[in-house]
Amino acid sequence: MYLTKEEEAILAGEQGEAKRLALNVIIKVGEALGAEKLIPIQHAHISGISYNNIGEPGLNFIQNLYELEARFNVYTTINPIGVDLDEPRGFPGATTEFYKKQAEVIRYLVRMGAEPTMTCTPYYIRQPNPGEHLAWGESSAVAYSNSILGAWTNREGGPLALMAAILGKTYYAGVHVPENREPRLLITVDHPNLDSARSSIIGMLLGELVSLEQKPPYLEFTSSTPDHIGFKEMCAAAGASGSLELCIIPGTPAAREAKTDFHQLPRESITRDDIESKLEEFAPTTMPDMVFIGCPHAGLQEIRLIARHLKRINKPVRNHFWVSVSRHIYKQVTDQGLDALLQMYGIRLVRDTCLVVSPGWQKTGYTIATNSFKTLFYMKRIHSVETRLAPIETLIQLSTQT
Amino acid sequence: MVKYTLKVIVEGSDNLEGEILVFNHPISFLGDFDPKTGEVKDPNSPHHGKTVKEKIIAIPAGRGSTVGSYIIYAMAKNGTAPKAILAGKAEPIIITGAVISNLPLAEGLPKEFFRHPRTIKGVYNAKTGELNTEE
Repeated sequence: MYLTKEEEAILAGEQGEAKRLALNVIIKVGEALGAEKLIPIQHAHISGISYNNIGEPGLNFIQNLYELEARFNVYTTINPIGVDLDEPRGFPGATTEFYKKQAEVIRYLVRMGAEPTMTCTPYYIRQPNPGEHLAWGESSAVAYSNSILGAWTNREGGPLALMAAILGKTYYAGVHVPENREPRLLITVDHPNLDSARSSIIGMLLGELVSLEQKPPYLEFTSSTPDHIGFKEMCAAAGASGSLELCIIPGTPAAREAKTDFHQLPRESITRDDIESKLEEFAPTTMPDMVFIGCPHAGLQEIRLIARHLKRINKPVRNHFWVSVSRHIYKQVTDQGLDALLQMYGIRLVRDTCLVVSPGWQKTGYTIATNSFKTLFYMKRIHSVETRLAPIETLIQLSTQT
Repeated sequence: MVKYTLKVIVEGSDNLEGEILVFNHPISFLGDFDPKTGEVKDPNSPHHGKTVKEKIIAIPAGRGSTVGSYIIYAMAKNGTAPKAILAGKAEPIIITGAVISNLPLAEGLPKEFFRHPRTIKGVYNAKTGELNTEE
C-alpha cells in the first residue's frame, strides 16, 4: 500500500501507540481488500457499543485504546447501547453491574471524542452529503446512507470504524471506488402497496438473492415505491440477511452517478407473491406479548404515523408496546407533545437502545412482534425469542383489540 | 484427499488439523454464533446447536452485523473461537475481527465447496494457505 510521509511516520510510532495500532489494522484490512492507499473521511460511526453484545472483551479493547491516549480526529457518532442510561429501573433484564459496565464503555468513547448519540440513525443527527467518504459501522445506516443519501462507505466492522475515527482516514477499496458502485444486476420489484413491513421483506429477499459478484443491484420499483420509513426498513433487512451496502435506486445520487445501462444487466424479480407469502409466514397469529417499533431508531415520520393510527383507533394498547428513538429525536418528539400522546395510549418511548442490543429477552413462551425484519432476524438468534412481523397499523390493531 | 490453495489474510500455525464445519450459508458472527459457548444459534442453519470451538469453519461469505468483528474478538478471548476461518470471500467485518484477534483467516474456496453443509476432516497450513481435506 502506498503511504504518505505522514502515514509512514505514524506507522513508525511517531504520533503515539494508539495511532500506530489504528493505522496498522486499517492497512492490514485494506490490503486484504486490495486497497492501494488511504483516504480521508468526514464522519466515523462506531458500532459494537452495547455491553450485551461486546461483553468484557469489547470493553477491555476500547479501554485499552483510551489508555493509550487514543483521540478521535474526525466527527464521530456511536451506536445504540444496552439500556437508557438515564432510566436505571426501566430495564428488567439489566443488572446494576450491567449499567455500570455500559456506562464505562460510553465514558471511554466520549473521552476519546465521540458524540454520545447512541443511535443507529446517525443520519438524523448529521446527514452526510452526497459523495462524502465515511467509515461507518452499523449495517442499516451504511446501506441507507449509500443507497438513499449518496454517501460512500463500506460496511465497516465496529473496531475498524473506531480505528478510522482515530486516524481520520480509511482504506480505499470497496464502494469508495467508483467502479464498484456500478450496478451489476437489475431487480424489478412489483407490489402496489409497500408499507414498512413489506419493504422490510423486500430487503430480506434482496440480502438473500444478491451474490457478491452481483453487487450492487439496480432496483426498479414497477408499481409503488417505499417511502422514507420503507427504505429504512429495506436497507436494515438487506444488511441483516445479506451483506448489501448499496442499492442503486432511481432518483438517488448513486443512480445519477452510475454509467451502466441498466437495461443490459441480467434480471431478477421480486413479485407481490414473493412478498405476501413471506408476510403470511411471519404474521402474528394472536396478540403478541410485546410490540417493538424502532429498528432502525424511529424518526418523526414513524412517530407521527403511530400517533395517527392510535388517534383513529382511540383505544389503549393492552400489551407491552415499545418504540425506540435516539435522544436527538426524543427531544423533537417531546417538543411536539407527541410523547404525552403515545403515553396516553400505553406506549413507552425508549431512548438510546433497542430490543436487539438490550439484555433479558430470553423468555420461554414470550412472543414479540415488530415491523422490522432486522429485529426478527436478531431476536431469534441472540435472544432465542419467538418474533413475528407485521405492518405498523396491524401491530396497533392487534395490540388494542379487546 | 483434495488440495486447495487459499489466499492467507491472517497467518497462523502451519499445522491446524481437525474437523472442518462447512456452512452452506453466509455468516453474521453477531447472532449466528454464541460468543460464550461457540454454539451455532441460527435456527435455520444445518449446523444449529453444534459448536465451532476448536474446529475450523468454512463459510461462503459474511452477512449481517458490523458488530461481528467484536464477536470474533470476544470468541478468541473466551476460548470459543474456531481454529481458523476459511472463506469463499472475506469481507471487512470478518477481516477486521480476524486481524484484531490474530485468528487465522483465508479466502478463495470455490463456490462448489459450499454446496452441501457437512463436517469433514482436514489439515490447514495457515502460513502457506494450503488446505488438504479428506474428501
